[in-house]
Amino acid sequence: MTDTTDPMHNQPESDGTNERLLADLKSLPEISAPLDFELHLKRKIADIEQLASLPWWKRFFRPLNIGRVTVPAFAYGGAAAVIVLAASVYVYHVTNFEQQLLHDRIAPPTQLEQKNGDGTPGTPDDAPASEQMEEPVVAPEQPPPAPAAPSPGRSSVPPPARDDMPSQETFELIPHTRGIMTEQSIDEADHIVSDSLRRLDSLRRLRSDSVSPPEDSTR
Amino acid sequence: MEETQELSLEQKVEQRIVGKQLDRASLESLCDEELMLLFQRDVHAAFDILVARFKDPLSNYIYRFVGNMDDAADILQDTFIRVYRKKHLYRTIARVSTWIYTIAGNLAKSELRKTYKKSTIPLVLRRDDDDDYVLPLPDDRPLPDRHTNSAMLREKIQQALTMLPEVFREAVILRDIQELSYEEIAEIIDMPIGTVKSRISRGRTQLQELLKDYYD
Repeated sequence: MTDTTDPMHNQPESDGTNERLLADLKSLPEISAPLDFELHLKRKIADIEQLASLPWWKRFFRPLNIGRVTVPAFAYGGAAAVIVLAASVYVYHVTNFEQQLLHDRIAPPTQLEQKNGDGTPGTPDDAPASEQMEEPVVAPEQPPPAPAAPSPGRSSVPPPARDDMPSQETFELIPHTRGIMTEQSIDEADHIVSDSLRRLDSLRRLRSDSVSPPEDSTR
Repeated sequence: MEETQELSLEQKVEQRIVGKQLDRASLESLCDEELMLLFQRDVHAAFDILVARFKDPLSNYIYRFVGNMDDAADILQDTFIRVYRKKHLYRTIARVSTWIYTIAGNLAKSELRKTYKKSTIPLVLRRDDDDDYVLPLPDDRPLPDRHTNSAMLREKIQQALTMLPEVFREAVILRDIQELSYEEIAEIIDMPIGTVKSRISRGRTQLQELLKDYYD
């Protein structure tokens, strides 16, 4: 390896270095490779060749050596199972929570009535009592409140009130009492409108049942 | 010149393969480059001979570079595995020895960087210019009557070598311990000969500074 005929190699070392230091550097003992070095090297090369001969997909199922730590092959399956399990639990919880939210928001009135216990109708979104109290109840004895200003697209003449259809007041009240209408989809809004109409009708029916018919004053 | 040499080497190798003169005894007489060409043609006995030729000098070089026997053995093995796997990258325009030394040096530097990251106290303080300030060795000077203890002195020399900056350490080891020529060193570290000489000189100066208690 050393080219002894190289003139540069044999030129005198004239950089002021201590000659004894240079001599000691040259006379440092040779460090030899370990005795079983070639054996270990051949074994390692055989492993590499064996790995190279494997199909690419089989290489994923071999033990992994990270430094001096060997990860067994079955650990891959275990890690994958844990990941899948964790993802499943997460997805289940998220979807269940969203379903619960949706269920609470658009629960049918029959269930809400059962929840109230006293037979009075509840609100679809379980609004607090203060909100429920804000719902105006139109007494049949009182005169109807002044009609709201007619919208541009609506006829100024109100249609005649009939027992089998909701009154004009009902139409006027629904958007004001349900403040979440604009945030919901059209289907949900329709559902809530129909709920409100049904509840108002049932309320009216209850009142008409409870109020005794007026006595005939002429008698 | 290089092309004719390559052709002649190729021809020699082809003749050997055709003549089936591939037994270990006949391969021993070949030069490193011929063995490498044979190995590129899947003559694995040639690789075995190359391992036998280079394992000890490389082991010495790597140990002097990293200062740790276990790491040196690992790096030596990685060096030959890389030679085995990247044999197709070797071109006969370079010497096999310089090619293998380059691989070993690069692996040793990578190992040292890993070690530096793990250590908490830097041994070498880098400045903006090329000059590096080397922390002095701990003041555990031997008594005068023990100056002749050569084993201790060798240990101190090795300790001082590992404290040199990498570029100077590499140059000093290749020149003063491995006794390679400037031309070979320039090929290994891929620098001009002037840079090689400068690095060797500065490395020796720093080494002498570190060992000034022993070489007054």
